[in-house]
Amino acid sequence: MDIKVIKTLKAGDKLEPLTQKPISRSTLALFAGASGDHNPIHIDIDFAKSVGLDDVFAHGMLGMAYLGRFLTLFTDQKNLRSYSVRFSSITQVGAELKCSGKVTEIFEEKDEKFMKLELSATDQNNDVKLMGDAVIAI
Amino acid sequence: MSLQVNMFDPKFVGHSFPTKTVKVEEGKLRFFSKTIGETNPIYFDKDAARKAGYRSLLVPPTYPFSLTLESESLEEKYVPVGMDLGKLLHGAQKFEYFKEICAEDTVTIDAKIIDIFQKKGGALDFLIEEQTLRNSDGDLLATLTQTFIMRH
Repeated sequence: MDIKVIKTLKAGDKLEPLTQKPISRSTLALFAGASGDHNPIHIDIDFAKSVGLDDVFAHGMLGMAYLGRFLTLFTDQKNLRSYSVRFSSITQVGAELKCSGKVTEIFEEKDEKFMKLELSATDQNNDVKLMGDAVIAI
Repeated sequence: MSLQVNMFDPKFVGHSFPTKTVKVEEGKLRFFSKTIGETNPIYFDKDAARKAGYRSLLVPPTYPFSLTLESESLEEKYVPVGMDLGKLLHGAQKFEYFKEICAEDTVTIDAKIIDIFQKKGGALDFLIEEQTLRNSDGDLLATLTQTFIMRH
């Protein structure tokens, strides 16, 4: 999709969803190193078991990074003014996150025009993992 | 109750951490962008980034959080505040962007605990932190607000 396409969208319009590849243990190990979040709960099953969990789980910030990347497929990052999420539930190993977005509002502030989007990431069982929103200048 | 339970200590509400400085490294940026499945050349190729109007490789939207971890790990920062890594969940994360951050930038980070509270009769323990990122000229680059939760 053309990166400028977002300018033509209006409230209620949806972005074309993008499904990420399943989250593997390798991805979690790489993301631990790449992101600087070395919490063993994401990479060390022995540690996870020692605190009563069955398995490691994905970094919330990995899902947020996927959703952020999804967003910047539709607009230049320089237009991004705010981006926030709530991590609704734990993302398990093997999850295939589907990133979706919907325009909720077009508004003006101080002679600048903005678009507000609602974003979500759901897994293959349709469980919501992240809910968020973003404001971009258009 | 003889079990020892780590809780966020409310005396740290309002606590500011010492200012930290990090340099944005291009190798780390490429590693991060590759790991999250990014393919846009502005995150990998300096010429492509410059053609798109950036000084150098662009920091992706969530990478500022990693810059804050590089300046000081969660463990270093929060174990003294009562954090237990095995119980920690990231509840929410917000970024506000004021200026782009690029490879080679020097970023100073100020972090402050703005709230600590409990829900569900102490079963969930919340800590909210705000961080401010500035460049070497003192210009505001981004602010981050994060909610951490410990489940007991």
